[in-house]
Amino acid sequence: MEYIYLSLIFIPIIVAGLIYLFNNSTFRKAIVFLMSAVLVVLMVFAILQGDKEVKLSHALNFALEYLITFADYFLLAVIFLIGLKLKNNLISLLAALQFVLMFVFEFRAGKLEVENVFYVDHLTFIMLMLIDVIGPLISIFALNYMDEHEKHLHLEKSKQNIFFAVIMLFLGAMNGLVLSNNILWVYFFWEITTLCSFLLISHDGNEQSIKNATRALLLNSLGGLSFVVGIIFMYYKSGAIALSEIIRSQDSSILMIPIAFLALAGFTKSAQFPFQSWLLGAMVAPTPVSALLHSSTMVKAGVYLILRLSPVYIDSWLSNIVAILGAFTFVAAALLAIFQTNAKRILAYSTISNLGLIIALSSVANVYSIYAAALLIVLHGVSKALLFLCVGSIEQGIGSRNVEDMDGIKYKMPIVAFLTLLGSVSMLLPPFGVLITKWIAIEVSTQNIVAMLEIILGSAFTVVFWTKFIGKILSEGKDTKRIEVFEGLRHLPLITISILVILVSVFMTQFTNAFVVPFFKSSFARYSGVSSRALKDLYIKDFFGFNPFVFFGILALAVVVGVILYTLLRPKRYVKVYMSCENDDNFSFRAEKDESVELEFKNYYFETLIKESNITLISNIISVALIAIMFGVILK
Amino acid sequence: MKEIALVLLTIIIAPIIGGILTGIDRKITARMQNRFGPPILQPFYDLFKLFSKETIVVSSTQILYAFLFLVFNMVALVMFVLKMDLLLILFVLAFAVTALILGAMSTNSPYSRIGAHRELISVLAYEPVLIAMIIGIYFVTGSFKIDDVIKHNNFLIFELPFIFIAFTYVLTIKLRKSPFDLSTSHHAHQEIVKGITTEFAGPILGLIELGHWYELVLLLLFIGLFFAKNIVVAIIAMLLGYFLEILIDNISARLTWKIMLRLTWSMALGLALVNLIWVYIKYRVL
Repeated sequence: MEYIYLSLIFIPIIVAGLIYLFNNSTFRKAIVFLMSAVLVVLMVFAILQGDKEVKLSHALNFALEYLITFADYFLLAVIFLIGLKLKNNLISLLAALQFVLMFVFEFRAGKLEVENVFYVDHLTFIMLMLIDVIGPLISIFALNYMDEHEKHLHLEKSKQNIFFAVIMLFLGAMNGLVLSNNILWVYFFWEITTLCSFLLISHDGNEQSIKNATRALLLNSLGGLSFVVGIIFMYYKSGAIALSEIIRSQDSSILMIPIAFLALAGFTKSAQFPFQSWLLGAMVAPTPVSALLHSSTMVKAGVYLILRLSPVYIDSWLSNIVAILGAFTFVAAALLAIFQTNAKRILAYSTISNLGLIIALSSVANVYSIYAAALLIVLHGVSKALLFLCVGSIEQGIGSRNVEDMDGIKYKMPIVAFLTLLGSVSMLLPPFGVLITKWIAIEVSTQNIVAMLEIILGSAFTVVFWTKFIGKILSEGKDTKRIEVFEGLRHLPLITISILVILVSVFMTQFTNAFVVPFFKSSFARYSGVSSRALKDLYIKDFFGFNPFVFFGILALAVVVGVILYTLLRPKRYVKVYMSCENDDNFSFRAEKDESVELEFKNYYFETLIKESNITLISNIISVALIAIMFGVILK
Repeated sequence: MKEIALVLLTIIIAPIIGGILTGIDRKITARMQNRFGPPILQPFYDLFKLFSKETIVVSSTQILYAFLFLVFNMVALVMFVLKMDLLLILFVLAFAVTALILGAMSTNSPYSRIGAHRELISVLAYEPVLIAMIIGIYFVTGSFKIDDVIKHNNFLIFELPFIFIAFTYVLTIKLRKSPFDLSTSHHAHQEIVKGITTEFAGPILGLIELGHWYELVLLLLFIGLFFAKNIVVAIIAMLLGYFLEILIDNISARLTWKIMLRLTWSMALGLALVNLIWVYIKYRVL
């Protein structure tokens, strides 16, 4: 059955090649649809196979081993050349260092074969669902979006073949990353995602996008180097290069150093402080790219790696510090989000913040925190995909991504505005799941008082920036002319994702029992007597008394009561807003000589209180210090 | 069955208590200002009058938000009476405020939007202190459930004096009383008109008023939590706490939001943290 896993990796890569070769719009649409269907079916088959460690036939394994080793060096050489072309010596240096280290390591270590090529457990399933459902939906949305996008750019020749080819390659690489057992393979796919993100961010080819893409490549190359160092330490400390062996390793203390390096690589990929700048820069790319990077690919690779490795270091000093680091990113990014007027930047900071929370949750030694971490990966993935695509549509509709220009968006673009509302409400309010994970985070982090305090503050900041954002979406505007028309290719993926947003929150406990509990059972066997407990004992009925069915039931009831109340209290008369009786309509008032002056009211952004750049600087310094402390504790 | 009766009883009795307390507030305030003051039942007359008025709105969505504000406050109080999780109660309470803010932001009124943002700043100020309070209670009693907190065999105030001070501090903000009545003042026509409630009128304002009464009862119950060992002491403490808030309300002038933010983040949060760290060391490390 190993062919399912192989096809999950190689079909998107082959399709990428085809899309690149045939630059034809109809062909592209057909093959994207076809491949989406194929990926979903393959994913379902892969999940039906259950937990597995898969061996390949000797010849196939041998061939793949050579292919990937060769491709890996080729990839590093490509990054090296890109560095040269961008005249950024640091990138070239980092690529060269990885190349040399890898080469010497592989040369000296000799045969680094792993017998079980694929390590498939329930965490893999969770990631596969995210990649192979959300990823294709974003690609389908992009079909329509990119046509519009290129119209704006007035290109002579469409560059969409490159764009979609890279996206397909990206999805294939992500599948490879979560399926591989050999950590060298994980590293290879990790590097492909780095390259893909560079290509996607620089897609528009203007000065700014190239600059931001360069930064992304630089920071991720740093992470790549850390990954290589981690692998080498891992091999010399324990002789293990298979993830399955590492997770089951009995002596975690000798593994601390490699884990710390791998965690650092995870931080760069997940854009944790002080590496957050690349993800913020990434929003210059077309919106489907942001949606992809923020929800189902790229940044999720980082938290995946950390959650994957957490059984090894949980309940140690390292896990305490990683929890503090993650929680620090949670609070700092939430604070910075308050200062943003640019909708995409608000979303980007919110992503960084949530990833910090996932990392903190992965590192707190508690059953529920692991459940919440896995759950948040999914909840955040679907909600953020929806939000980015919606904001992208709004941007194409009104020509601005500034929140201040979104007054009256509920009239101009009702469908997208409603879906944006759903997305942002799902990130903030009950009964949606993101709030529940925050709640779990506070309740379980009481053993790590520093992380707990950070989460408390971050939780307050989160309320502030989301409320401001939601308030804008719901606000009245002068211009109420509807500009939105229903487009199947654009709106159907959005509606599908929003249904997923609701479903994952409604079936939160069922999802946890079906996917997260088996992952916990198999991976955390070593941790405080998990192995002796039956799977049944680990199942949950609810999260600390929060039952989604009850709460969604109350919500449905509230809607019914609300409608009845509305008909009872139906407004008899509409009036103008109060402006000391000096207004003709709701949007302007009479000033001097009865001249009409348009009213302008902006959200508060607290610039007078403290400067955004100062907060960024201080946060970066603190996070660098924390990382230094992390290595200081580990290195003996 | 018993629980359903309890829930219904709470929903009926709480606004009566809240209304009477508000009436007492107005009476005491008047006496402090050398006025005679309205009858104790005046808030009820006001409320009935509001509900008998015609429904006029700027935007019809306002009704929804006012309704949500009331419902979330009710749910939070009911959860308290059913002795559920403290942290979840706090979250529900936060959504009541969120609903009110969104209601104020949904119109294009400058006054209500300013009020909304000031309310948002208030949330920023008091939310961490409230959560810190809950965590402090957790460290001492080992549980987030009110059920277990009440069973604790000592007065919580002895373990958490600083947290209690911090709580009474933010209570002034939460009750929107001077010096922190930034988002809306309950004393007539002032600098930002009526802030967050400017655009609400008639029955819709009535819903918000009712919501406030539930909120008031719930917040006083939080004071009672610190004295939960003895019910009589708890009631006296709640009344004294409320009197203290009225007193502060009458002897202070309004401060700016910057001062409020600085004071709460340094003083109140600082006090809460000091207390939190000592109970952490006492109950977790030692």
